Amino acid sequence: MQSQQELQEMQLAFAAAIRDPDLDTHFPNVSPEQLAVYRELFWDNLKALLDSACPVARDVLGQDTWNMLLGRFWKEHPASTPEYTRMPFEFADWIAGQNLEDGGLPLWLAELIRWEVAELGAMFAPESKDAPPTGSDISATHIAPSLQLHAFAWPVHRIGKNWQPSSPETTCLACYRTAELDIAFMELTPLGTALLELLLAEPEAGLAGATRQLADAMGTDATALETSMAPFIDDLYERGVLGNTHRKGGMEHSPAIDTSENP
Amino acid sequence: MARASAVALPDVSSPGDGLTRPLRYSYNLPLVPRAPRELPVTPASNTTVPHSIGLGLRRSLVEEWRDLEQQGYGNQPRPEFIEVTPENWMGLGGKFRRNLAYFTERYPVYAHGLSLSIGGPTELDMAFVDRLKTFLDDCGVIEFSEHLSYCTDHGHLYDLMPIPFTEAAVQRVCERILRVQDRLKRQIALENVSFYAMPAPEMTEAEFICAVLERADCKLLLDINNVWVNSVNHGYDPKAFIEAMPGARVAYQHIAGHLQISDRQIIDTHGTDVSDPVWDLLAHAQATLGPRPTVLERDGNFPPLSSLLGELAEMGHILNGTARGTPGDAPAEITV
Ligand SMILES: [Fe+2]
Repeated sequence: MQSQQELQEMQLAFAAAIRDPDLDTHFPNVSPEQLAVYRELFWDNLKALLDSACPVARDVLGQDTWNMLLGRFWKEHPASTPEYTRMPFEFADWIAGQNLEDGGLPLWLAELIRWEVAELGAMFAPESKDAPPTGSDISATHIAPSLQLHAFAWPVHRIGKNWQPSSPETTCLACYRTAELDIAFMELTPLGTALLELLLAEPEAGLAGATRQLADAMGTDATALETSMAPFIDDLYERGVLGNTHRKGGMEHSPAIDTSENP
Repeated sequence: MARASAVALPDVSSPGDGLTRPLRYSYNLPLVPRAPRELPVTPASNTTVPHSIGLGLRRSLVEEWRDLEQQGYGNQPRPEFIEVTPENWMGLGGKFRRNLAYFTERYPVYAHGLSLSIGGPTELDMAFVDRLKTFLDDCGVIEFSEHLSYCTDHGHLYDLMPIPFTEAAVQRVCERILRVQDRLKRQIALENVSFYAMPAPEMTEAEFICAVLERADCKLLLDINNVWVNSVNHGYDPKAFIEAMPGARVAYQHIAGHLQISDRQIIDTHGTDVSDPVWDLLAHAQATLGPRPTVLERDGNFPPLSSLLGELAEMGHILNGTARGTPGDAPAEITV
């Protein structure tokens, strides 16, 4: 009779054989064809998810390189999330930890994949537990919990099969859920991104606090900075990325530009 | 191993059924949804099951399904309950949350988990079990089921691997089921899964399942399609398999379509219409075990919803013992 340890070893070996088709493992009562069925089912399942989560990366790399990359991820990375649809985030984290240069992969690949899964992040984000601040608390600023804000070294939003960057170019991108629950994309200035990052890090300090902190860091006058940032801030309120009851939308100029294409 | 002896368990579970159920643990189990719901009126039938025909809620189906809820079902049946996969909805906001709420407000909810890995070789993720409990409680879930299989090694593989049919595995799985039931404060149902390989078995599939159900005192989600798939792939009699199942433990059933590769090989895809042998087997289960709530699972290659409702009508005929139509009786899609 099988012991507990033998059971555990057999189960781990079976999973390892599924993860790595090059492993020449044999199990009593299991034919190579039967094992191949499992390998194929599991691989198709993984591929269906990551293909649909990262269509641009797949396209640009081409089928072979893309499959090689997924195969390595599948073999090397024990995914910790029980939610299948969250697995692309683990893939993005994993690729961010890889040495792309040594692997002969484009240096912008990790950032491209991060940007591709950011859309999922905006779609999935749970609603905020706290309602937007009300009453006289004008300093408090509510930030849309769906906001995905990224400062990239590469212009990842322009990458496609027909164009890839040859040199880095600081690129600040964001996506978020609209009131209609659709996903919208923005390109931001580095300054706007820095302000939002400060606000995200310390929401209690409010917009005024974040502006002051940013002005200090830049060695500029806070009032002047506030004035120059006003159109940007108004646009964020308009879009619902920022909210509180004392601000109304409907501002004139918008420096935050919609990117024309989804990642 | 002999067929498990009959156990005194009520054979239906629904809002309003008994609150006392003989279980081996001592706390009060929440056997009804936290907020009992009005059940939709079932068409006249002689079944004792309060809801019999269910449809698996899928992200790809919600938009079309919402439209039908608003426009009405015409001469097609409205599903009587839904089955949701917690892992596909839990903790999500936006459209996912809105769509889930839309359906859980309108239907009795059964839940069918994916990632518990009840037969897994590494430690159970009890933090995940806690999150599951919150989801089940929030949605007022009537029955929670999982797969009698495993899907993890040191990480998740997101698909089902076969638990070896051995005594060691029975012991290990039962110990884990008891811990999960204890934490969820409810009895769970385990599903017979389709499998394509079985390393070093010491007993048959039916013996393994009966032993687990009996010793963990849990329920069975009987997947009729999986019985058919396994009977073809592993050469056994599917009717005898169903007869060997402990009827009193069958909480509910699944049917689905599969992909026939050859006379002796079927892949369980949930991507086609339900096949004739599976309808026949459902009728056999109905005759053997009595009517049970039954869910149509469709996970890919989605046809128009009306085609799935046609299958639900067929399912209703079988479960209610009324004249059987053919699945093709559903209003045909007009093609130009
Ligand atoms: Fe099933």
